[in-house]
Amino acid sequence: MANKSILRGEPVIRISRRADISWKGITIVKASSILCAFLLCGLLSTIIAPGSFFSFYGGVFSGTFVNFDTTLATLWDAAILLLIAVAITPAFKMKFWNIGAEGQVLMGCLGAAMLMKFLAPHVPNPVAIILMLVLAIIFGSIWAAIPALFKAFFNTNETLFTLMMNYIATFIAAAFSKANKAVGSTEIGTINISGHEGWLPNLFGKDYILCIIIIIILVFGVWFFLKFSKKGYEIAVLNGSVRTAEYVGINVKWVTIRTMLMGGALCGIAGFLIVSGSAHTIGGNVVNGRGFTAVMISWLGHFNPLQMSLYALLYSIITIGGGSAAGDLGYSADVATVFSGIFFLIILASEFFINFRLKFNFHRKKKEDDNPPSETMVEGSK
Amino acid sequence: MEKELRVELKGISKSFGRVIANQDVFLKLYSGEILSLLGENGSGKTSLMNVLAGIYYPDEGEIFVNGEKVIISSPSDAYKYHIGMVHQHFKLVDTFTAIENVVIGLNKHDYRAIAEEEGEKYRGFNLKQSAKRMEKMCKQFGFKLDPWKKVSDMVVSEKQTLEIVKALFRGVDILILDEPTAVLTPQEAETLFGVMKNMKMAGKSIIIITHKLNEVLEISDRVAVLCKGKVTGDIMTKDANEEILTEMMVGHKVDLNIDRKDIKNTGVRLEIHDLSAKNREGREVLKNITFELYGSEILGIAGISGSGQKELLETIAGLNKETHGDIIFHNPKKEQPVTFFHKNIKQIRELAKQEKFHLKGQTEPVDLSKYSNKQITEMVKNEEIIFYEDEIMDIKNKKPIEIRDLGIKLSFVPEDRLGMGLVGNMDLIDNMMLRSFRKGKGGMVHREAPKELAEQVVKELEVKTPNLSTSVKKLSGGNIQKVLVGREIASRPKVLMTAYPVRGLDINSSYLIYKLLNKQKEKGTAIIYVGEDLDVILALCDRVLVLREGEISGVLRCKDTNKKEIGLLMTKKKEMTEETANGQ
Repeated sequence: MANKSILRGEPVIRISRRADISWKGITIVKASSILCAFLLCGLLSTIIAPGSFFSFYGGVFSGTFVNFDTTLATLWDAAILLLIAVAITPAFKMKFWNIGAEGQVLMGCLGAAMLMKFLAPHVPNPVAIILMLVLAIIFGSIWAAIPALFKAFFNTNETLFTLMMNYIATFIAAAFSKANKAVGSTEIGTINISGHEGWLPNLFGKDYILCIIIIIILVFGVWFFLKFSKKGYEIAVLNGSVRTAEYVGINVKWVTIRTMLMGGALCGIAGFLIVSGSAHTIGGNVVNGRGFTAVMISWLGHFNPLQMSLYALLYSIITIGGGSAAGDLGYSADVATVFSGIFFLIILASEFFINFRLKFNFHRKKKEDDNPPSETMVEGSK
Repeated sequence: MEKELRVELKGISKSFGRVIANQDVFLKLYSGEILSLLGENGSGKTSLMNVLAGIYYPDEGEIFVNGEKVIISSPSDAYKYHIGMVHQHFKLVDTFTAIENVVIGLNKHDYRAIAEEEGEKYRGFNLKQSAKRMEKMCKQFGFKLDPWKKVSDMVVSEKQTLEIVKALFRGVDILILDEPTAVLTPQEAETLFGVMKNMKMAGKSIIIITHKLNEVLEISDRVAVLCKGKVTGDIMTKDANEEILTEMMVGHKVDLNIDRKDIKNTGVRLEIHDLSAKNREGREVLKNITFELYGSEILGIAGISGSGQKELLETIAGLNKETHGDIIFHNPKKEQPVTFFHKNIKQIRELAKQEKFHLKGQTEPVDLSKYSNKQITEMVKNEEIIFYEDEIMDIKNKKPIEIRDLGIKLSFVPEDRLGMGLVGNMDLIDNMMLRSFRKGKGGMVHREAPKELAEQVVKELEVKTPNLSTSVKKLSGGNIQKVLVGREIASRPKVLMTAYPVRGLDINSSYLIYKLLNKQKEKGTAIIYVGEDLDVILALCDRVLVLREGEISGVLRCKDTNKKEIGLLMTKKKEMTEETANGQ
């Protein structure tokens, strides 16, 4: 006969792995998680500034898409973030965990800023801009190639290596800024503020349009490279396993270095676009942590540049819009940063529902209410 | 002795996503019996036993132990009901000694019980006390195991013994063994069966999961057959034979004969001389390997797992850097025209200088220096320049890509299908071009030819896949293997190396692979077959090479040998091998 004390262990919620989920299912889960994230941010805002549920969304809107200029600024912010995320993606796809994009972009910034300061006033603007771009690419690539070489030949840990390279880059940039400080300041300030030498030209009278177009072309190019080129195919094989790559005769060391050089070059371009297209200055924080945010964007987008553009845009909306809402509602802009963290935590958490399904044991619970079971179990398919 | 019902499974169902592992399974186990759970790979044997051992929780169904309904939601629950399982992949801590592994996870109540049983004072966690009990138990059942030996120093059979001892130490009455003989030599399997019989005498019940029919017939009292997640039959062993069991397993009659044709070999294809190699950790894994491989021959390689089989194939394929000795490939070019396949005009001129060619219909060496490049191109196209002899090339220390660039058609079906032979996340088409993606001009990949090849492989080898753009990791083991073998055979290899090509495959797929290999043999391919089932090696291969700890302990004609002889060579000490070698 059934003994109740023995039956105690039956789990009420069980988590089991999904074998497959349709494209539709993924879209529904993702869309509802984004919706939840937006709602939660509104609710949190209501708690901080009582009754501000709807005015929060008003604030987000007025900071981002209220007019053409703010829309462009938001798009530009998203585009730069996307470019950096795309730059690290090829390396990520071959399981080279490069978290040094911050430093690589910053070195690109430095390359561009150096020529902007010392060369641009003395040569025609197109020449200056092209040389700035080239030096930015070289600087970014070198910064990426160093950890790649060490990884290829000494098998050093690329995560720690690239991370430390970030700090070195930060202080080099800060030192450059201080060494060339503007009159009456401790930092370099806006370079060539009067003559705009080495500044990217405006398109249709707007700052950001040229940048955005360049980035869209680059992102599409990387997507095409990864999907259709032989070199992109080699990266996909390395994503499978190093043993497979060796088995089919791929030179793993060279592919590692080559891919990082390419990522570094793209980071360099991002740095050039930041300095020449918008910031017109250099310092330790000109990249503003985008190199790290890009890691998250790349992962969320499953290393697919097209998916990544969605998340980059969402990130810019929630940070810029959240900041503007915080200003409108009178609480600290730091709270908006908290919102963006919560926002993406929820989207990340939704991955769980894509990979697993929950099963409830309601019917048993009714039968034996006096013995509420509490355990949950995780089961993996083999 | 009246047999009492120990365990009863009623209507057990378990699925993973869309995959149904078990459906409505009823099974009974009596005391003092050995029950064989027979079924093909993927028929749900292991997952059913995992349900009983508390690894999985069933979606539906009930479990009764000694007539009482029980809930088993963890392995420790299972131990509570005296159920223990020895998994196919051992779960031991390598850096611990045997006795340390045995007592892992015991609590003070267990230690108190041990002390009481031994009639000694309870001294808490005490390895010596536990070791004493373990030794006593080993004696009772006939195990040979030193409690103080480290797991990392143990051979596979000792590890398995330790797993069994660990279960018995916890007072297990119902022991589940998941494919225990897969890692053992025939002799070691005999020892295990002896121990199992002792346990049976002591009233314990054993469930043995296997897909080897001869073992079932030898050891068990009763056989339960699983097919596609369901129990399709339950038969007393004395009433069964191989034909009946196979039919129960696959649902229809299967011809279990492998048709080995005696084909005259077509000359040496591969010559391995005094080959030694180290693995990535720098340990010597191959020692002084010397053998020849002929065209139209299947050479079997037997050995306990980890005796250097994998390393031997990888070394020949150019995947191992630390090697000594020679690997010489004979490209079968005798009396064949030279082609532009991996040879350019300069190389052809060079070879002509070494008097390697004659013109069609002539016997004296041709002097190409008096011809222009254009004329030579024309002559090659018309197949007028003929090789005198096979081309001989040393491929030692050459990378896979360099071997391919020499024009050597060497195919390799590695043991690790998704970790080496294929990329799991890629679809069928992309996997087809793994070895050939560099073909074609420009920087873009060309997916037309691979697509055709994928279509052809799917059709000819009956690969079950929703479509060509399905990730291969979503296919079943057998279908994954068909994709891999299909691709490797499609390049019309001169040498085909296969490592455990039927591991994890059902009977039908296995026989399809044997047929494919035999077909390649008829075409003149030299084939190396690394296998674990000695019966298959004896039936399929022409010769068998036995490896022991990285050395060749014997090369035998399959017709003139038997399992026992091979089994002895697999384990025997080196001196003895030399004796027999001299005696022959």
